[in-house]
Amino acid sequence: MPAVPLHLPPSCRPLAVSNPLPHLIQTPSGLALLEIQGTLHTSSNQNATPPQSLDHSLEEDAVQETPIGRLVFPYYNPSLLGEEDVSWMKRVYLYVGKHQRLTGEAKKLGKPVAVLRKKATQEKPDSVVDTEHEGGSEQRGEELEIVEIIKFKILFSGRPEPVDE
Amino acid sequence: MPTQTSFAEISLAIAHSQQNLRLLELPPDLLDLLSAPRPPRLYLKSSSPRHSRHQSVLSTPADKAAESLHLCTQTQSYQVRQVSTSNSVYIIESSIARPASIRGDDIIQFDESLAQPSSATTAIAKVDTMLELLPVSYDVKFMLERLLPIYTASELSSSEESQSLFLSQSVSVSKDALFSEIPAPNAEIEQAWRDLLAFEFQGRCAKPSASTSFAVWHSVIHWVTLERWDLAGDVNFKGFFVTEQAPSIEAMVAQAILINLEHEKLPNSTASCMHLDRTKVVRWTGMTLLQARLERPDSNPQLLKDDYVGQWQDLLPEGWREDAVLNKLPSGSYAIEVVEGKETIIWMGSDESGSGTAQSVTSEAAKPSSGKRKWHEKFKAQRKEIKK
Repeated sequence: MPAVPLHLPPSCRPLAVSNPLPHLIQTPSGLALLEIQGTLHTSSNQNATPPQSLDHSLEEDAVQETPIGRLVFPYYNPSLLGEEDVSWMKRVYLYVGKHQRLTGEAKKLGKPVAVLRKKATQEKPDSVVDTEHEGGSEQRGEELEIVEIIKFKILFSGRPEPVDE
Repeated sequence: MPTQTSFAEISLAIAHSQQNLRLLELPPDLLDLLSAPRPPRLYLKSSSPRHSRHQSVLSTPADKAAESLHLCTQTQSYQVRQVSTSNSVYIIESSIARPASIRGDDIIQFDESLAQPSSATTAIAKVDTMLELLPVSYDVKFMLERLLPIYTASELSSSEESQSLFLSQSVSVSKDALFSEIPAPNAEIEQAWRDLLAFEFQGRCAKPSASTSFAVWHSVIHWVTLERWDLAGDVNFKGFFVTEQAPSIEAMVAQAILINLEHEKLPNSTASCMHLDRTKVVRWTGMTLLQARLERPDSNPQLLKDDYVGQWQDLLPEGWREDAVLNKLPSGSYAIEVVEGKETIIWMGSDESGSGTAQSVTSEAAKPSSGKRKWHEKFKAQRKEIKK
């Protein structure tokens, strides 16, 4: 097997300012980790309701998704406590549908994780990454890239509890 | 107590077409490397087929293949292990960033065209396994050596004939391809490559036999004497090779030898001028002389110690002849036997030649790859032929 180059994200990227997550767990790419005990089962794709809160003009036709519920950070109050405040981390709710709620927390990962994905080889090599190395990436087959390095996760380790609407 | 409006509330959805993403745990030292202003290039390397073919007693080939994927930086190699997560891990993305490429520069463009922030996230991938990294260290020289065929220049035929024989018998594997077979940092393999005097000739890699190295060194000494140069002083490196249009294998071996024997610490060594390391030269010539003798089946197995030292002295620059004493050889690499009242010297093998087993420093599971690939089997067969 030939050696597979692993590309890195550009070193200085601005934060996605529209990221709705609490500041601490935001990443430049807008990715975050959500861990739950159990699996999110979606109904079959035909029954999928259209996304409710997304601007459709942004979406390609093929992109479809099923709403799960909402994430609530009850103690997150940057205007009062500042963005550096971490006390909000100990409580996060995930409302699933209308009647279920998971209680969890935001946790710093013991070891940060890199999000890997296959790099599309047809596209022209990313100039930021490739200029400082030998430009021999075109002829190689598979390449991987680190999309993001994530240092926190939102963890729901318990079982869902019933809630009123 | 925060008011109701201060609650950060974000809708969550799950995308129907999930992306294929993996999560890789980063050890602190690797994280530091990646966070540096100029992070190094990383490679994933695998030697899986060898593992699966020869060490598949305890686990399935797929397990072994997964185990033996390695992430390599310039200086460190990590074994990649796949560990199942007990919980479901979703990678969520703030939806507003998703239609654009995940690259940060694209996000900027995106924000310009979109004033309305949307508080939505979408689960774009579910991850069932985490990839863990385990720092490992291997006997790289040993691993490289068993991949390299041995080139032996025939004493009876011309160097052109030896070369064409080499080209016809060896398998075309470039140095790059060879390096990617070894799950170790390239810098470490490059060092092993130098130590083995390996060379790449027309897309084929090999290392010279001891007798070939010996013959090449002999001609270097001979040539230097004719030119009235002194290998103990400044060596005009370019003078050796500048005349060669396409270097012969012998010239490449000579070059490899000189580079390997070069003094590492002297700062004034340049591309055109080099200094040889006296200790290295003395030890290498002494060992090569013994090894080369062993390779020649017609030679008398009994080599008188005094004869040996005399021959050794002839391989050294004039000023270094007095260094040809046995304690300059690595201890354990030779033995003295008394035969019929005379001291003879016997080559016992060198620690450095990698006759030992590959070692795994930190990982009990990181076995050295002792198996071989198909083309390596061909090398092996061909190596035997050359020896005949």
